[in-house]
Amino acid sequence: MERMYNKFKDVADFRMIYIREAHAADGPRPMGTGKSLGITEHKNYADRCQTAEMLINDRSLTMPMLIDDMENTTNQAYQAHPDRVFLVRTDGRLAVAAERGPWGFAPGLKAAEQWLEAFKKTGEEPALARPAEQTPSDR
Amino acid sequence: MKHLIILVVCAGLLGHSTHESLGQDSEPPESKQASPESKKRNRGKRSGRAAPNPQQMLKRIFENDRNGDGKITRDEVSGRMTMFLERMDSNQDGILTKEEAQTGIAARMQNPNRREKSARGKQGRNRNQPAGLKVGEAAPNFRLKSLDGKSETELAALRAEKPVILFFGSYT
Repeated sequence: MERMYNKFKDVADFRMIYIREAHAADGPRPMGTGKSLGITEHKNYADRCQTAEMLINDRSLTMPMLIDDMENTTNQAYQAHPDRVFLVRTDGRLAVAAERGPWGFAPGLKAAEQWLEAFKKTGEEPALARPAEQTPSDR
Repeated sequence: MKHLIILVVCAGLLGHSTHESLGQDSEPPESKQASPESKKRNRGKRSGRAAPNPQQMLKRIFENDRNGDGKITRDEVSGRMTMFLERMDSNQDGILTKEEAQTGIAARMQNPNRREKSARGKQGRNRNQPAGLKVGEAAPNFRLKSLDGKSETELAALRAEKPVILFFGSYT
């Protein structure tokens, strides 16, 4: 992620959005790092900020980070839990909407990287693979 | 399956207690409605394919293990297989080990109804959530505070200037 950030930050904006924990120690799925680190579900905004800061420090992240509100509004809107990658074009539409979770993350990164390479090279945003008319509401 | 068992039990009880109440009158309405359906469903399942045994399922899954390291990773599968494996990846680390596969298979054998629910897709677990975002759809706008709380960022403002990459995640 950081590598991609450093490579393309001049042509695109990168944002990490910190959402609710995927494996909180007291959550429904405590396996994973949550149990060993004692990271519990965020009780308030300050809690979430604190854990986000821990992530930044432990992984030496430089990418700007935003914190989702405690109502998990952005998480819900994007169906992002537990991890997800998106690329938003300047016309507001999604160029990349990876599958959720670790299975979708790597291909999502790859797709985003390919898109950014093309964008950087040509200065033009690659056309969307599918025509925009095919939205679910039309079906 | 459950409905069939209820039906059989009811029929057995009826047979023991009275002689007159044979047939469909005394059966509770639910099993009456469900039985032809469940029979049809089970019949379809049985004739469609042979009941897989755990060893065969495990073998089939690990046929995808191309580098032979005893684990299945994202790049070794595609399409529907990915969804299948994602469900069995219990610690959600993107790697399916033999243990996870065995546990997942055992769980499915015990609870065949689970297979139907997941086959229905959106009607299962994700029923109450909005449709997943797809490529080409408008990205929902948001306005969130930065970590230091000093600034707010709105997606619409950002993406008007440049394309925006969003990484959603958490520590765990």
